[in-house]
Amino acid sequence: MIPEISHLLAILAAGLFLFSLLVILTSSALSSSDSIIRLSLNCFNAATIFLISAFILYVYLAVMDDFSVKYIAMHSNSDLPIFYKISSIWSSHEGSMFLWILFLSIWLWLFVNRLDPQSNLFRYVIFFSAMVLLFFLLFLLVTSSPFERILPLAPINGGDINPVLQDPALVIHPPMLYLGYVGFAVPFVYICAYLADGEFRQGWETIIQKWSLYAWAFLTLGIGLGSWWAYYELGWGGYWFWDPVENVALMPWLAATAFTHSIHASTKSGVLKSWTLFLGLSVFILSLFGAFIVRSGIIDSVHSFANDPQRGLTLLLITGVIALISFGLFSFRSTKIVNSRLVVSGSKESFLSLNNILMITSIFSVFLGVIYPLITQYFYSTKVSIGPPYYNTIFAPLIFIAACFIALSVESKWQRKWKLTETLSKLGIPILISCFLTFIVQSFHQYSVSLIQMIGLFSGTFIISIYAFKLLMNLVNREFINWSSAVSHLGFGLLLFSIAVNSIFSYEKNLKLNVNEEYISEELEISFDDLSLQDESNHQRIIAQINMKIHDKVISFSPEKRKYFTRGQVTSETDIEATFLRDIYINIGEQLDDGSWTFRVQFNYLIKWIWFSVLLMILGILIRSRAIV
Amino acid sequence: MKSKIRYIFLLVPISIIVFFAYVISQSQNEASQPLNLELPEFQLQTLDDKTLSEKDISSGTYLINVWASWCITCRVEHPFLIDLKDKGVPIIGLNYKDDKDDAINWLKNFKSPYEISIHDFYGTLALDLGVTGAPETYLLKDGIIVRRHIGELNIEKWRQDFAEFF
Repeated sequence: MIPEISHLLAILAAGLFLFSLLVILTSSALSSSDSIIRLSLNCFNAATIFLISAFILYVYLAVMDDFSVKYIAMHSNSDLPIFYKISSIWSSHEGSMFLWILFLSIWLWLFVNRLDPQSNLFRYVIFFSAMVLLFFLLFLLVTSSPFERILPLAPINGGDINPVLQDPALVIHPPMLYLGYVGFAVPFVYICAYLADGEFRQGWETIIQKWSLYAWAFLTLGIGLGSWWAYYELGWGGYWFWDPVENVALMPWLAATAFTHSIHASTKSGVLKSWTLFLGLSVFILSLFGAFIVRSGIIDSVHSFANDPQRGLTLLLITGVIALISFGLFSFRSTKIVNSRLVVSGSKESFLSLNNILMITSIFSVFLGVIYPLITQYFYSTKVSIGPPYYNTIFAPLIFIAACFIALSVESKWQRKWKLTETLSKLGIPILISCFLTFIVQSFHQYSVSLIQMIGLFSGTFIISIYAFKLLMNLVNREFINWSSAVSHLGFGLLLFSIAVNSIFSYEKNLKLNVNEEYISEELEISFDDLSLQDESNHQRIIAQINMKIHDKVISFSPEKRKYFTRGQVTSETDIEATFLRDIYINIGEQLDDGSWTFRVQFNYLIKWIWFSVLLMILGILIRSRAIV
Repeated sequence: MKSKIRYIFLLVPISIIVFFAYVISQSQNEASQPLNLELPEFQLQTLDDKTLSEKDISSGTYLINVWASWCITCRVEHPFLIDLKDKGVPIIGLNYKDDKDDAINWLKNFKSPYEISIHDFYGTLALDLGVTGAPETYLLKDGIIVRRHIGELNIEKWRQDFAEFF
């Protein structure tokens, strides 16, 4: 009974969104009437409440192990702890979409109710919000319903959650990421409304700025958590793989970063308005595009947990319609947008506009990397794999230019030409420090350091030292400092610095050892002491005991493999010895025919700093959002 | 903005949509399941420098798994293939457009699930088979290909389409 109620509530929500949409359409034909807009808003609110109730009931079903619901039966299990039962909802396609739509409706609901119903944009905001929600809710109900049941004979137990996903990070990584993706629906619907209205009043940027910053924070946190999960838990041995699914998350992130910068310039000095509008639309469209790539499974990816080309086509259609409506509005209406001022060359705005161009370039480069394998596959029938070499080469010069722009724009002023000598005199010390450090690393490192790594190291150090210098001046001379900008850019500099140091100094060893065998080299000794088997409720554990002697210190490791009974899947649990500067990371591989086991031992430098720097960037943005009323 | 430039904002999304619609329609055409095709003739070197031709595997039931060291999904698929091998399913690897040393190293590092692995550097056999990429799995029964699966083979696909033959 409860599954039907939940299903019915979701259907009713779709009906109410449709009704709200139709009411708005009649209201524009009848010339604005307050009571009609009220009615539409009430429908919208009711629809959201229905959708939230439907989801709460669904969570209840998952917690109570109702295996008559097909989706729950396939992805949950009565042995699971309660937080896995709940998070099993988003462990595959249907439930993920459900959660995604729930978040979409909550964001838009909060936004719509904060707006002034008297404002002339209001009806357009409701219209576009209801339209987007209706599209996706219909997609959920028609092509990927999580409400299907197995009747009359429900299975006694469920098929279990995908073991790869059986990790605490599953509870938090997808929700954060989705909150980020759909959070950009707020600026999206508002910009659509603004363009459709066509009166182009001033001050629209401030209404959506705070929302965009929050969405940016969620998106960044979501991506950061995914990277952390891949490294610590999934045993992939790295933090970023340039996998298609990561790339389609990176594209909206780059667009969102450009957007938050551009909207800042628009609010501060009334320039770059078309840019801001365009970027605001692009972030959400790129998020939808990402959802399409992930769900359709047309690109091979390690993230392909749930895909189906048929659904892909429907998603493509929805994304296409939304993109054409919004970009169509943009291309026909934005000709009338007038910036209140012109950009003065050498001013802060000029660097922000260059930043926009830079970001668009990087988005396009990533996009090309994502679709190039498809182009060769379908038009030339050859398979190519585009990996880290392409992206590293593309990003190195872009990062270098970005670092230079950051440096110049820090010292520049709004609306004023820069004073070249003054700027350069302030940049002298940071340039010297970063050149010196890069030179030291380059000449004393035992292996050769590539140009790309040097660029990364230089850019990171450069940005860090600029802001460190700024902070110092603030402490000593009480000079003005923009805290949010300083903190988030310090985070960005630290990110580049830690990535560069990580790629220069980290190394790995692949070993083949029998039990009681030792590996001895100049710098370390590794002994494989024991191998034990242990049976757990739903899996078998194979645990290796490894002792490592490094710099006269003995560290013991116990990496393990887990074999899950229900699906026969094997996962690998790494063991990590983490210190401030370095992680030692051991991963157990396969048993070879001669009885020996393979091990992957990695020495990863500054890897924790990468996540710390992501948190710094988010902190900077949160400081900024507090300053906006 | 100049009036002609603005059409770019429509043309770019349209061309992207058309491109992906084409890609999806192609990938759907190829996803056909039950087959009845004869194994094409071939004579290729294996990774351990033997020669293999279609006559060597013309009787019995085999899986032919297309893989490459550059293929990430093959790594995800790998533990399941090892499982199949342990259950006694004979798997023939078709190493597709791969550097030979990389391929041999990959098998060393991850353990080989294959009885033997054909080194199809130029993709000639793969072309005859209609391979679209890695991983891909074919089921060969007495010289006839009866099943084909594009993408990662997992327990669900296995039970659905392949298990009945073993």
